[in-house]
Amino acid sequence: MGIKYSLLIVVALIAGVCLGVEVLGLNFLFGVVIPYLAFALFLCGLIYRVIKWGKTPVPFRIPTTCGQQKSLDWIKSNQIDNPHTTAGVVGRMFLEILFFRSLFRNTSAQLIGGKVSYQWEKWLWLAGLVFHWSFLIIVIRHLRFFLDPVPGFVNLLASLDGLFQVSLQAVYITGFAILAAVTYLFIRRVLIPQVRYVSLPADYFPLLIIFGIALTGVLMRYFIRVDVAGVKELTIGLVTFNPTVPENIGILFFIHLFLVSVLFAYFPFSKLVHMGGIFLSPTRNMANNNRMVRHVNPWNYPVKVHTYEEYEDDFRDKMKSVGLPVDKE
Amino acid sequence: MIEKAFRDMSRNYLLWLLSLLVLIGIGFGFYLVQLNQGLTITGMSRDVTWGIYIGQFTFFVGVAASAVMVVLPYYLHNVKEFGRITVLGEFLAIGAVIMCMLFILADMGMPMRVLNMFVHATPTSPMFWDAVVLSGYLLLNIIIGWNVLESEYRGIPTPKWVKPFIYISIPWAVSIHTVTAFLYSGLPGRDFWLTALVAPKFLAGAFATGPALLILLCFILRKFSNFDAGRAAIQKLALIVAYALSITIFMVAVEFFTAFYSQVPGHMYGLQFLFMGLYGHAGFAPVMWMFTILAAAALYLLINRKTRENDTTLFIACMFVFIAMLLEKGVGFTLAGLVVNPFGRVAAYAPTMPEMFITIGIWAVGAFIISLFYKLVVTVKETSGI
Repeated sequence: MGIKYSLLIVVALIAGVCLGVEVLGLNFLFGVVIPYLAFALFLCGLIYRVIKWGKTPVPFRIPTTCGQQKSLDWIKSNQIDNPHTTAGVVGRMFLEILFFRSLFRNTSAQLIGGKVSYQWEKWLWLAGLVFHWSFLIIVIRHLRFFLDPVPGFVNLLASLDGLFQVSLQAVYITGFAILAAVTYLFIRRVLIPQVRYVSLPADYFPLLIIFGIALTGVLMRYFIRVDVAGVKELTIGLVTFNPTVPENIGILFFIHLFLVSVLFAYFPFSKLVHMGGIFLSPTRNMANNNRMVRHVNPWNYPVKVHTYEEYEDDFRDKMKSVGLPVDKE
Repeated sequence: MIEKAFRDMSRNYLLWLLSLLVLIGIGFGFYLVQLNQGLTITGMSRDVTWGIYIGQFTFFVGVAASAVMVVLPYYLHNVKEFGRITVLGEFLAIGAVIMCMLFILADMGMPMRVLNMFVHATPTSPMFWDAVVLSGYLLLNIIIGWNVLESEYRGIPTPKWVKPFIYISIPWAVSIHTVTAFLYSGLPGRDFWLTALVAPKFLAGAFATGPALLILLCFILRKFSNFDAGRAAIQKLALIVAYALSITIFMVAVEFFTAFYSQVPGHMYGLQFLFMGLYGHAGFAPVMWMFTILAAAALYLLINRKTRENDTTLFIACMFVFIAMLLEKGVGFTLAGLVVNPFGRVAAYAPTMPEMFITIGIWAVGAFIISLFYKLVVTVKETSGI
């Protein structure tokens, strides 16, 4: 059900932009108005999410850990899997965000010959890593459309990504890698019954729309060329708030741009916002120092306490008379 | 499982990896120079279009193919002694194939166009088939080595679907070296290579070199870790080396008869150049005499039962085999065919400094990969106790 629903939406979106641009001639709407709206929605939505997260109280350290906690000096603690210092947390976040360490540790239990055996689930991790890194490199590469002059690191990255050529044209590896990875992630979702059972349209839709974006991108670059100078005119116009829509760019570009706009608009209100959320996960970005530092809940009302010293003051004579030891004579 | 390769690394091991990384870095630096300026910085020329890179490539294809010498007895003849070392053979093959691919890339003036090999596939060219069989062999060994080791680690029998891949890998290993030989033996202008004996000679040489290297690696592992391949396995390998080396020497020797009895100049030039020098170019003669002496000494040590069964002399013999074959196949064979050009003239070649450093860098890459894999294997074997 989720697949059909998501597929229908993506097809409808593509049909809509084709109709709008080719038949109704709404180039300005799809080339300028919708991208602006989408970006505004993206920014506002993200700010809204971050503020909402920021307002959520986390009075206590609640990191998820999978290693020995720091306790006595002679017990070796795990600095990264159970960090008790900020450096440890930074190291852990670094490995998590750049290399998906927790996913790397993923294993599946199987019963083989009456024995439990754990298999390393490497493919999800690998496909996830390829997908995210490719996406990042592709986004950075696209800066060449929005900046003039194009910064050196963008060109360097593009030349590394396009190191290999097919018949004299540089082929960006990431473009094909992301298509392969998204396909794998989609097939995995469909074929594994347990994963399929927990999959919702919100899981299929981003995969399909990202596939659509990557596919139109690859088509535009290698197979059905569009007027790339016109594209740059349009994108530079967008970022300088001086929008123009050159004629005859090609419908593929409008499909690409529209799907990107939809992705941007959809981003803050979906699971995709984990891009920001990963940095703000209290279960990951806190040091596990509950044994070392006293964390007081900030909104606790003041509790009147009766300390032991006061208790002893009250009952010293009686304690002495029955022979109980006292701290102060 | 893979994290085991990075657990509890000793200081010496880390230093070893670090020094390899330094060598890789230097090699890569020189490679960038080569990428920038082109193959002009190598010693290759119009006549000598294949140099040390392709020589080393040929040699390591042999090392890779030789994994079959432990895989075949173990899986087809149930030679139980090899059970502990088949994975070592397969991982050695992975490292060697990666080195081969790097040598090919280093030999390409425009490595960025390598994909055209597959996009514009040319089934009439042995080069295309070499690329196909090498990548296939790499993939096969990764699948087999990884799954065998992982099931050992998990304490379960190897999955059934891996078995067909193992059986395919056996003829495939033969195919990689055969196709590599065909790169040479099909060229009408190069008399020294124009013999059907190249493929069998390559295979025989490979089956001496690879097991010799494996014995050396087993000795090294025994010294630096708790892993012991077992005396029986090493002795079986030593026997394989002895036979393969005898056949190799025989095949090198019979070339002399054909060339000098027939007195066909083209056939004589190559051998004359290698062993005696031609038109005053005698630079290779010491190298080839070194090969002759080392091979003869190794043959003596291996045939003699006493020295074969003694670890020290076996170690020396295996060193000799490896170096001898490196000189014969990795240097002499490739160059002799080109240095003596089709007109019977000699076009001198000597590898330049950048060329040597790039070669050393690729060696270091291979050593680095094999070190990581062997550390993984040793750690897994220690925990699983198999």
